[in-house]
Amino acid sequence: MRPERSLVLLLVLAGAGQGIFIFLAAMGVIIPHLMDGAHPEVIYSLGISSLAFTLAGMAASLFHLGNPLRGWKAVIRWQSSWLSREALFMGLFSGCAALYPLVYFLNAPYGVRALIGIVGICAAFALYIASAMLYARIRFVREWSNKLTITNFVFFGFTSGGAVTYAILCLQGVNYIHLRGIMILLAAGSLILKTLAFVFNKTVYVPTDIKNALVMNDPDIRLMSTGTSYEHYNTKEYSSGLTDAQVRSIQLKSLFAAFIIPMILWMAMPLGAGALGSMFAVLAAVAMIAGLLMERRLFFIQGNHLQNLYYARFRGNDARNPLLSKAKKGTPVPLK
Amino acid sequence: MSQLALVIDLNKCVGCHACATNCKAWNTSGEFGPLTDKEPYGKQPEGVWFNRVQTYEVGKYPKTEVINFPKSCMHCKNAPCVEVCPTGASYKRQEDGIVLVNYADCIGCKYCSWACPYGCREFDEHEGVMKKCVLCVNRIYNENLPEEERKPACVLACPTRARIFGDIDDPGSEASKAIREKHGYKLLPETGADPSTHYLPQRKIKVELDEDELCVKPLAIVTIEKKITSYKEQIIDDFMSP
Repeated sequence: MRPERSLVLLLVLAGAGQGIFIFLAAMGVIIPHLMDGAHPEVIYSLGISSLAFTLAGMAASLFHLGNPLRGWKAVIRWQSSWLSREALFMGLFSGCAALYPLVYFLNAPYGVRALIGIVGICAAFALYIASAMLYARIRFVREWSNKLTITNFVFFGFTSGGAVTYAILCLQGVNYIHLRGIMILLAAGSLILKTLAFVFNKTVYVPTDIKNALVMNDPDIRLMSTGTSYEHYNTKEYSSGLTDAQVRSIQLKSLFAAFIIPMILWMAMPLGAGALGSMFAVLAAVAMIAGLLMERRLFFIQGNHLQNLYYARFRGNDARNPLLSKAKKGTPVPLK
Repeated sequence: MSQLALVIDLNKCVGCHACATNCKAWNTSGEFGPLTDKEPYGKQPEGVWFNRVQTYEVGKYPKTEVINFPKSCMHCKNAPCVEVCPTGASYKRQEDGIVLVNYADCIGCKYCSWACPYGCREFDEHEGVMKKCVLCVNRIYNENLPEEERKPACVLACPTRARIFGDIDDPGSEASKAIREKHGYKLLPETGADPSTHYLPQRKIKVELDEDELCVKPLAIVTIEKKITSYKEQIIDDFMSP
């Protein structure tokens, strides 16, 4: 699929915004004595960052729409459409993210703060699931329609949110040692999940081919003409135009920038809150966001839409599945 | 409930694109238009089409066949584009099964085009909405037109009558009969979309004649007779090729 910048930005920025809120609200609910003791600036800066990331993602997503002014209508069909549910949860989450620092500012009792925090956390997780299901729902794009899509959306958003939270805390002069350990574990988990997703994409078997698409039982079918003298929506929207080597290069860069470099930085950063420690934490957060931008772009690029069969742009099964390519050398592989 | 649909005979389609151009001509100036173009006379012409014809070559030389393959919205019974639409702009009419887009509600998110396994929806950059074949709903019920013209523009334009329009849920309709008698099939049934558009397979043209049936032997048959002794059930195409 063609990676659209606005959608890549939406997924990365909103995901990080949700992650920041989950960390902030979880700390406020679980360890209120620590948060009450913290400087109010810490809570405001985390709350505002969460809101800013989410709103920036939402604003970016509007550029994806053909008619942005009608964007509000996206919530209408929440009974059947995951995109509609995403819009709905986005609204609920943004409301909680805006209210949370406000109730701290107004010195509201713990019960009110906890309620908004818990509702916000639930909305954030629901938003992760809705965003992931939007893609996982398209069953014939096998690179999207699998469980790793959902786990990765949750993990990457949560991890990137944690990285930004940690950087802000360090800048504010608060260095929770435990948070560093949690972040290293989360990044390691994300690295494993993304590697699994790459392996899955490499070996996934899509049980169809051009014979099936045209319903013609002949091993030799070639596209002679697309019927147009230039590219059109079907040839542009469903493929990225990148070569395999370019995709592999982005794959490697994204893994390093999003997970490996931040892990190294967190492990190498000096203990205690200091200017040097803050710099390490900020660099780790920046590297992770940049890496996730590449990773989300790759998520679109690797989505192989079924309609590409008709334009001879469907990445074949035999080349991708080593087991099939071995079998193909001798006899034709039957369609499952 | 009825389901209006097209049945396309690949055996008759010659790939002239008359269906595509007539479709564009009718729909660009109607309620569902305009079907906008970008650089229509330039080097890189792009535009919105409801119907596209692709050409494939099947088989190995010299035993090859050319397949002209027109493709437009399948008006699926379980239309995935309708289910995913966040605004309800895409909908399936109960009375005749036609899938339409309400442009006033479409936000242009393109999600329906991702959900369509056939790639039968196109984004109009100029208007910012998704467009697709409307099965000429403004023709088929148009009482200002003579009854014989109340058919989709592509069906009327086809010079070889490769396109049949009708209710595929009515067993007595021409479309249903064609599907039944000529082995009509659907594309990508495994996606579960249950498309309504059917295709009739391309077939070899066979000569099935007895010698005593012929008063005057056609020239082609005489030529064949010189090459072989028996001409029963032989394929003209194969003998005509060098």
